[in-house]
Amino acid sequence: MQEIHHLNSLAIDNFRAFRSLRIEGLANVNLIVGSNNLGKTSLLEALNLYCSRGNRYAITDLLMGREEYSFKRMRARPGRSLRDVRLAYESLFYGRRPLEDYPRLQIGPLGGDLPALSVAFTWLQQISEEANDGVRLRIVKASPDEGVLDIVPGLEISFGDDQLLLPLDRLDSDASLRSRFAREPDVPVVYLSSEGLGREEIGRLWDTIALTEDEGLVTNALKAISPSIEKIVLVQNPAARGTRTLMAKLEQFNEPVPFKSLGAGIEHLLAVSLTLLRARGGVLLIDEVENGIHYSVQPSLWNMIFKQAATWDIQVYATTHSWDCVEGFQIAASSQAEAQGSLFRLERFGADIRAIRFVPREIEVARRESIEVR
Amino acid sequence: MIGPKRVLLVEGLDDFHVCCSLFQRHKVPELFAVEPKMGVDKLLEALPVQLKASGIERVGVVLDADLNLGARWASLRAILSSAGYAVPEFPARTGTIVDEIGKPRLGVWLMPNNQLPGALEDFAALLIPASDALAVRANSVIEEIPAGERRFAQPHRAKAYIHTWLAWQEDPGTPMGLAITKKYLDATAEGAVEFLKWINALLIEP
Repeated sequence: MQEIHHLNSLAIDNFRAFRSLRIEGLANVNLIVGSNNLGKTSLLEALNLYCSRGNRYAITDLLMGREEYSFKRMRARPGRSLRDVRLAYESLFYGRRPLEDYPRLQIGPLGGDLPALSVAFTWLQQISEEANDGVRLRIVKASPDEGVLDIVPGLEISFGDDQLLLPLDRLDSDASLRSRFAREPDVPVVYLSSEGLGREEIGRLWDTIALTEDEGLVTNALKAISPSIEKIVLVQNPAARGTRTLMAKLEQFNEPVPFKSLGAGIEHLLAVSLTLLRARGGVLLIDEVENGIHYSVQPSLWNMIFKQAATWDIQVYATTHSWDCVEGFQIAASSQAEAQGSLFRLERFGADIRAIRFVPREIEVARRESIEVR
Repeated sequence: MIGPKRVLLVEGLDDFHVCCSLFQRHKVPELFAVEPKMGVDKLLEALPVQLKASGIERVGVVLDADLNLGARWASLRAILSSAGYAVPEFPARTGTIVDEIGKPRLGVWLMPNNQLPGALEDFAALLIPASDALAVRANSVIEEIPAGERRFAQPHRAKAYIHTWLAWQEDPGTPMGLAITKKYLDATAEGAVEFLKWINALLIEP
């Protein structure tokens, strides 16, 4: 049985580069490969939108071209002009269709036993209504042909029976905050962008786990890769007031050393393990998971991901360009008790994009027989 | 890194050399890669993955029919069916070719001729020039071996035959592939021509 935070299939229609993409055989851990511009990141965006149940912040972030919607969802947003918004808005729909075509995108699992998310362009108008507690403002759909003056372009977002009308000129306002679309999703949906986490973000996340049981979990995950790490602490930077530095206590030294001196790879691993923790019971999306990680560490990275995904009931989706990363994925996946990994290659198929699936055993055969699956 | 777009998978090195010599003698354009796998099991395991390789356009498979052509065909059909190919119930006499929308063109040749049980050696035996005196002699020599002295099992008779025949050529013991290059074996024999027609339709023609 599929659940919203644990899909085994996905259908995407009219979203960004995808006119009609069908994916079956999603596993606990999914790795997505393919040439540039085939929509690997778009696929993660679609999953993010769907698993967030069309959450208005997830949509706003997409429309405004922001990629940092990982942990900052609830923070204040700077204003933008409608013109900027409309540009990003058009790229939301396949083929950059103009508003006049009333484009509609849809994302959901195959089979129809779960609701789909649909986002369509519409015209909106604000009307005032008598209510028990006085006059209330309400947003309704309008037609541009009826000579109404103050209509604005907007989106009609629906997820199952729930519907939200979102005027594009009011993306930053609180008008729709009472809607269920303004709530955080029931399960965490965490997106780790290709830029990784900044030091500040790592620090903030570390604060949420320091001195808890989770601290031990992250430290143990890192120990699997760098066994000499005993403890990690966040300390005030003596050189720059107001900034803090992550320090590691290593077995062989008495004094702690700066965490970053352990290499860019281990820092990325820390980011991945912190985001795994954050995604417990939910969904983790990682763009360019191989970033900064030495090929020799790839199997350890994937062992950690497979292990934590199973322990914490997380469905993971990651993208990569790197064959080393695919190999690491395969080695880790093959050592799992059950087949819990799927590799997907996005490729052109006529005017469309399609996904070709490989199970871990097939990746192993490809490696042995030198068959190119990327 | 991009793999070849057109590939011919064969069981082993003997098959590889026989195919390559035939292609050379017939000046088959080098538009595809010939890849020897280490045995039939490895080949059958690689096949579904090869059909999903990135950028792949055409895939050919050359397999021994072995003792039971029907069983070989059935196992191949099962593999290809889960890869999304509707493969006919029986192999085509002139070699099977299947086109599926959105998938690489697929071809299968069962050695020796898609009709009889047998292997590469039976195919090579088809290339022994007609009315070759040594062929008749090699056959009768094998027949004359008393049952008690025969060390090979009946299914390997074709192997014994072709290698006996090859042992008596100008350069004794020339391997099968090289025997085609040296023209001991006739690359224009009907068996070879049928095979090359299949190769051409599968891997060369637009």
